Amino acid sequence: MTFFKTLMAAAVGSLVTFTTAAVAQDDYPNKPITLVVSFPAGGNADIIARLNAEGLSRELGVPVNVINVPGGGMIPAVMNVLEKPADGYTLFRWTTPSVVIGPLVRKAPYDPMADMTPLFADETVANALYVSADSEIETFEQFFEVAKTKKMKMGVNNIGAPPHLSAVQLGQEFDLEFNNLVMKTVPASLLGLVGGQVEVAVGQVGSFKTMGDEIRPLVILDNDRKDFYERDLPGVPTVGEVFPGKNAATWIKGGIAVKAGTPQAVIDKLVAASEAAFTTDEFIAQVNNLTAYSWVIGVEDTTATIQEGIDLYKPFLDQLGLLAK
Amino acid sequence: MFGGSEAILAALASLGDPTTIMLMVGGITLGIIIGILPGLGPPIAITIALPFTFYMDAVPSIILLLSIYSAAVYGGSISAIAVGIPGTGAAIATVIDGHAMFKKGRGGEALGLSLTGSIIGGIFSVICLAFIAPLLAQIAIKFGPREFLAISIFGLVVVVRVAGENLWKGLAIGGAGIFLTTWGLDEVNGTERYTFGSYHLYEGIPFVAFLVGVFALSEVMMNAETALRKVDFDKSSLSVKLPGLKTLAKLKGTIMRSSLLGTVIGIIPGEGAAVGAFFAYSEAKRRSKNPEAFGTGEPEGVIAPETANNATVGGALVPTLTLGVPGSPAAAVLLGAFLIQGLAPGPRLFAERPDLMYSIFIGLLIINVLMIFIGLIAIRFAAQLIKVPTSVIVPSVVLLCFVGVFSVSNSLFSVGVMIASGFLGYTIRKLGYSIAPLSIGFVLGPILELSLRQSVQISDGSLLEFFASPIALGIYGVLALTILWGPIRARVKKPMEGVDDA
Amino acid sequence: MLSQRVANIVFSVLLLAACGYFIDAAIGFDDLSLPGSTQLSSKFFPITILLFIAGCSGIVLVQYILDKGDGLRSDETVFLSKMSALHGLLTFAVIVGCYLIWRNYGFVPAALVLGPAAALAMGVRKPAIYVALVVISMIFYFAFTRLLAVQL
Repeated sequence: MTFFKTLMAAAVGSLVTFTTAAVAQDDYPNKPITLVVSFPAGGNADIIARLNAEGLSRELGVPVNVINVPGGGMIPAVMNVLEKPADGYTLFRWTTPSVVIGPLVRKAPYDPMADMTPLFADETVANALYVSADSEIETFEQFFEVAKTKKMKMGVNNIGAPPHLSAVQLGQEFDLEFNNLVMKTVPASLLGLVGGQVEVAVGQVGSFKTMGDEIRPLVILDNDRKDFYERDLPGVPTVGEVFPGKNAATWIKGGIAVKAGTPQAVIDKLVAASEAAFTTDEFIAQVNNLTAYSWVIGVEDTTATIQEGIDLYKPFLDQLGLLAK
Repeated sequence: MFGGSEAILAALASLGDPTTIMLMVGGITLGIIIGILPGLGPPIAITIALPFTFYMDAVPSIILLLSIYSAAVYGGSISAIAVGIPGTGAAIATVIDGHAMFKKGRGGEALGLSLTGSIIGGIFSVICLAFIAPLLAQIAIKFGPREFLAISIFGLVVVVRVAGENLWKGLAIGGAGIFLTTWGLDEVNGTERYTFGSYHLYEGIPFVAFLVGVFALSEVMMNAETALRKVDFDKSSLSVKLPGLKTLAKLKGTIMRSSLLGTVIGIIPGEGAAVGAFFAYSEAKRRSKNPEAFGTGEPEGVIAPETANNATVGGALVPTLTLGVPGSPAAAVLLGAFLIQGLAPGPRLFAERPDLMYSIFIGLLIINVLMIFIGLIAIRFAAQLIKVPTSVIVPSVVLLCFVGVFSVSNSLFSVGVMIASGFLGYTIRKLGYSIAPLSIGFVLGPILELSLRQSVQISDGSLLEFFASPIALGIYGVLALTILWGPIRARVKKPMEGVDDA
Repeated sequence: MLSQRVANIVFSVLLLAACGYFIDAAIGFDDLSLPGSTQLSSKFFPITILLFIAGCSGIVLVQYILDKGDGLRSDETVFLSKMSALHGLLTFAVIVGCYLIWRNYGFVPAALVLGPAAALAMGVRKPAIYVALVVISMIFYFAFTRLLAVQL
């Protein structure tokens, strides 16, 4: 019964921390840690955060509680972290909308690169274009023909979220216009296909698993092939493969950050704990059940990775006139 | 059905495991406690237990979460009846008549009714889930903007029904509830609305904080006014009694309609237990022979919403299990638990893991039966609450609201919103407004606006397109009937009565 | 004592003024929707609802002024007595006060003050209740921080 072993371990662990806490107050961590997630409970982003919390809790020996602060352009979630002291007791589950897109399109009260210190990246997501399984459109080329003749109803989850930007990018590169419908979540966008409320929708590559028989993938909205595409959507081409030269690049990643100014010793401890907890086969398999695992560790490397994302989206958003003035 | 007897045996074997039974008992207890606490609802209850399931097998982990889900939806009614404070959004409708019964010294009876209703509603929806889930899922799929718009407009009629003594006051305050949901970033195009330059308001007025404030804090202040007065109660109100067969037979129409309504509302993705409970309450009031007694402690006003809100549990699992689309926020967390196990809910899951599906169906039935016993223990304690002086209850409840609202997002701003909404709720109650329309407006507002705007977008501005959906047309038809039925019946009856008199 | 009629007339006027204020604010929203698409603008829905509220509260106002309508209860007073008004409003003041203590000095002092202060506001004289309230606050604090791991 691994469950009871874990429970026992947690119980013993917390007992140990309570006693040691009294002896050495400055020994991080000596009280529960909070992990703030900018998505509602239950989605992939939330579940990965809970896996993070569970792994960190095991490594650090204190409870790690997940708090959901969804919506509001992700700004309330980020500010929830930045309002707290930079002591490593409040962690943030960063994702593309909160560290890259949000601050670019909106006058956000924070600067992700200056106000936050990212520790690692562990997941990567790619978007794909779907139609209903009984649609007449079977390939990307056919979709292209139909979309040229009329303004198709396009289901996206939220304005400014990566699926929406992929749809906008697609329209811009191929000179198409869509009637974008906000469906609030990716599963809802795809359900809209089955129910006939939208004609085409942007979902994630991994969405196909759950909705398999009801929807049909047309194309992966990316330039170059990544290793997990064949696993999740076998035989589906990327935009770059069908129309070389057209740009459909995305950068959708997630990981954990702390507030800038957190003591180096605390950061080192968190990085070491993350390395130990999130490079295990078990964790990798669990992330792969949800999206895809892509590991970058350390403050410098992770910051460089996020900078890549900013460099990718900034010119594109500028072209669309969406960049915050 | 799928799999056959082998799968059923496998399901029974895994459910019969002592650990699984223990998890059910533990899950139900935890669920009821969290349900009782104001501010903490089913989604939070499930997420608290979620990390434990990461290393468990599929069946025990799903059963644990389902126990918590069912029990948390039920638990909200206990505080609704005994203290007048809905423990969860699903119990808002129960407060109206449940707490009125409690104050009249019929607390034990009201608690028994809500427990019985919850169990019946739960079992009814599980049976629907087990036998016609794939069929029901086909209806759920068809729900798009036009259908949601029709449902929201139906919900507005509910506002009229719970408007209180003066219709215009009810409508004004219901409108205020809807208006307050427009605050924050506009999700259709990202415009800032009424954020007053504060990023705290980007996501609008926090839902839980608002509802806890309007209900719990206003109730607390009402009680504080007369805290010193001795509460008179009958000894009989201390003893919990489950309704007998005779009572149930009298209520069977209400119970059946509420079960059905709850299941259907549960199936529609995004519509939760609160909406189901309100629809059932208003339907029970419409059907009642003496609707004016509603609000003063009608047993039907307790059993209708309680049956319906637990019926949404099975309903919400229909799209979750068959399509992989969560039917409620709590079901969204459940879906996550499936994915962690490497199981992808959807049409294939029925074929690939029939044992798991049977475990869920049978497990839910067992959970509902166990809930009777654990629920009985809980409500025995709750019934005693009337003996506790109001002056002790008032500060304790304030503290619980503080902690409950704070813990949702570790935000003091939410606590501030709760206090402000509490003052709003108190003011309007003092002025003879009913707070039920305010809360329904607040629950329905976001769906109403989004579906209206999407319908306009889909129809390209043509009004006829709004009705180009058979389901939406059906809903409008039923709506017209419920509005016109009363006058029609009155007109048909009047001449006849005249004849009788003569 | 404040009568329902006077109080409701004041409240309706306030509600109308609020509607005016919010309609004015809505007119100033930046609309970010893309040109050319059939969309209702961000201001449409709030303004419609506000006009609806204003209409309803206008009717309520007229009903109270004319003293004609269902369930107005014009002759009743808002509060039962001066004492009950005092108890209710003082309790609210205590709630606000404890919130400010929480903001500035942390949760534990706020929780310890809340019980006794609220009891005082309600006019409680029995010492046992004061003691009970402090004990209950402590039980809640430990239950939430230890069992549910809420960080207060």
